[in-house]
Amino acid sequence: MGYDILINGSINGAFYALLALGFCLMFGVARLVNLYHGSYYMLAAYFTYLFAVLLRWPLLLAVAASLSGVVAVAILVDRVCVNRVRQSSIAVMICTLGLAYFTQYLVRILFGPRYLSIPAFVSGNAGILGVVIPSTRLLAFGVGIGLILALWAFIGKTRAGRSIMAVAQDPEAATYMGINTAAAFTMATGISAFLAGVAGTVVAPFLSVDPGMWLLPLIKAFAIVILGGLGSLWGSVLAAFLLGYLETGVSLLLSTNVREIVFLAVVLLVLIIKPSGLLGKSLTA
Amino acid sequence: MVKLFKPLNVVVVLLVLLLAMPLLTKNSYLLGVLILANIYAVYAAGWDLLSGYTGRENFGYALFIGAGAYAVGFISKVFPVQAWLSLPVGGLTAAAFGLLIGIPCLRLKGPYLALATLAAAAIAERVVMIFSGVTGGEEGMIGIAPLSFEPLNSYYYSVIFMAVSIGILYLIGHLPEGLLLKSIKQDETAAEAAGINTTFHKVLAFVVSAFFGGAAGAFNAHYMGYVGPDAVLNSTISLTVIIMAVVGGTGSILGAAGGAYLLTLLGEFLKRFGDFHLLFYTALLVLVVLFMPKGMINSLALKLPGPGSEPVSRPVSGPGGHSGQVGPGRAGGRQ
Amino acid sequence: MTQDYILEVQDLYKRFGGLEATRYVSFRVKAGELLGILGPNGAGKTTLFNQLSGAFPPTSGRILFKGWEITGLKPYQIANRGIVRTFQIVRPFRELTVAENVTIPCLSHRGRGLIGNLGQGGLRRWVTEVLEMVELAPKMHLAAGLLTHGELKKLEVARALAMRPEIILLDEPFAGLGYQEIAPVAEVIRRLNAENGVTVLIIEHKLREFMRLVKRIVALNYGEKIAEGTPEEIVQNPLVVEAYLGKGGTALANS
Repeated sequence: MGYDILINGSINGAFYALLALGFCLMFGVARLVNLYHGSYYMLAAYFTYLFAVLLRWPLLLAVAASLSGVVAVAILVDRVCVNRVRQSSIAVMICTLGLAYFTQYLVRILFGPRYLSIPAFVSGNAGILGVVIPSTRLLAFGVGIGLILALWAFIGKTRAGRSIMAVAQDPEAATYMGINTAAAFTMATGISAFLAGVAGTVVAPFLSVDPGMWLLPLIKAFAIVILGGLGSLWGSVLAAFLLGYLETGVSLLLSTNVREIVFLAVVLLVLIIKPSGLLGKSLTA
Repeated sequence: MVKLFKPLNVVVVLLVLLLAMPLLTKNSYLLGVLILANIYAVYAAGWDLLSGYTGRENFGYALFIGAGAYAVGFISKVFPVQAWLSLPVGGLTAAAFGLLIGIPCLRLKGPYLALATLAAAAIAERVVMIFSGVTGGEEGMIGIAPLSFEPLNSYYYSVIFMAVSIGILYLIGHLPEGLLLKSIKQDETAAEAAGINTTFHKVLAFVVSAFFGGAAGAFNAHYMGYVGPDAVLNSTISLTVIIMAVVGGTGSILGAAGGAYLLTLLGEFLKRFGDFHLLFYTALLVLVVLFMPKGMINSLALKLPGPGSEPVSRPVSGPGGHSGQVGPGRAGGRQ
Repeated sequence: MTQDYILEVQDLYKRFGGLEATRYVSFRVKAGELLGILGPNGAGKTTLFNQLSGAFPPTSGRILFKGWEITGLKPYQIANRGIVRTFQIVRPFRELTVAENVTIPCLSHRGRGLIGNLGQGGLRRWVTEVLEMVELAPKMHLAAGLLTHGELKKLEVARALAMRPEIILLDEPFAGLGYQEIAPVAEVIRRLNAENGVTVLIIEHKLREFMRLVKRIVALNYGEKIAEGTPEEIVQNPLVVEAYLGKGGTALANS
């Protein structure tokens, strides 16, 4: 039981971290609450379906094409929509939420409302610590951890990554230091969509692919990011894993029904007691 | 102030039109659509009083609607309650929930309040599912006394209910209280320094907003003869209310209510395009947010004054703030 | 004894983490005074105002208003008792009109509240009167967000005046104003004090106008009161000259 929670919780945690990191990055860098974030996850799954199943491209190529497509959509959404209403956080939220529903309905018209399945990279099962897990889940875990580490290295070690963080901390000062804030925004947008897209391609094979699949992950990403402290990347990772263990634990020990209530109640409590989140610094000077 | 008389004339004409509708058409389907539009108009206007005026956008308004509706459902199990009693009871139940949610969430706004209200409503929905023995779960509760066995009477009741509710909300919004709520949205610290007990007024806005959501929810329960998550507690309902209010325009009560009529009727009209109607609907929302930040009704009909109507000269950041491309500012603040 | 002073500040101490922002500051203000608070940046002047206006409570110490303790009251409670502040960085309600901006304080208890203003004739006359005092009446129907910085400074003062204050705390009312714009604002403050008998506490860095305006000065440095007296006395106080202007500074004396 304990190992079950540890292993399955870690897998879920890695998946949630993938979703939440991009959401968090957008808030940290651009102060944007982008409710279109869940749609990147959905679009990646549908693009993969289009390229790999309908067009019969090799899977690796199909995934690469999907991820490029998702990044392109993200930059387009940023240019056409988000950029125009940046000043008002509520306008950004409503606009991106509207676009997310628009995308859902568009996808439903194009692909139909039914559940689809997309091919996985691996098949079979693996056993760890006596717990049997499907290999696809293990792959999702590995990719998740790999990307979290890669993001950590990118932000800490590369010039581009450091410029993104500089913009996140103080856009004005960053401008004076000669950092191109517009480029940093675009880069953060691309990375954010890429991470959510990867989540879509590695997780979709064992979850459902349907036009409404974006909403729940979006709400979870939103909650994780606020739980971790809006704008704190490592707070998000911590919160993602906490959520992973909590959900797995509660659904194993109690019931799946209670699982979401416990999670929502934790979110609500954190908001009421410490709105800046677990690792968030108070933004008010 | 003089300017507002013209829109009021329009409102009177539309109200007369609503009252005369049964004389113009015998189409009971259309009347049914209008009853729903009346109910949604109260939802949107009630939402606007809290969210549009004080800038505390509630993403879980369905919690209040549901509280009112479920109150009727529970009472109806004991005795067949009539609307004249259950509307105030539903409203007061929701108002109690308004206190319950409003007080702990006083410090929150922007994305924080959005998530908190979203979570609160989602918890309520799950609780209803878990205690399905009492609440009927997904099936909901049936057997609630209808407004009237005569469809025409139901229609007139809905018009009266809508007119009274929106009339009260409009008055609150246009009395000094509305101005106070708007000042809280603009700068809470400055309002406090001006001697305003902002905490009290925020809680008041929460409670009044909840009351009308609950009353309209109760009305909806009588009209449908049924209470269930899909009718009154779903997150889709919360989002629909926000969309209606935003498309119509927030901060004027009439704009939000107008948005409800606009979208309900447009939705009916677009239904003939099948799946495409939802696509149009959401595209309209995005276009309105992008190009008419004050909302369609507010921009076109009410012609509200203020800097927002001239987006170019709209001052975004404080003096000395360098917006430019860095523009996001620290919106969605914390405290 | 106490009744002689409208405001008494006793050993006011405020600490933020490791930073002592005000250290045992004490002074007394008589009704009708025009008192200046002087000190270099970071001396604790705005922190002092924030405590007087209730923005945050002092760590220790007391504030008495007409002999009544008001320490730890909320900002709106203090404002309603008659101590009203302006902000160093203007905080207008940008999407409300100028007249509406001034109406807000009138809706507080002190401004007779919601009920007292239901018949709005008197209210509207008072708002107009206040706006005339600061020469903003012609712009009363404009959204505040469209005003110039100088006009916003006046609006800030107008909003405080609308509360019919007994004490007004002005935090750098001249900051960001050109020389042409300063004189009218200074005149408003002087009249307010002389004609309406309002007690004024003022923080200001534009020393030339400041020295002409105030009758008495409390000088702060590093959160401590270092001197108190008439402008002439303060100018000659070696501690002030050293703290505020650096050693050998004489610009203040010459101004």
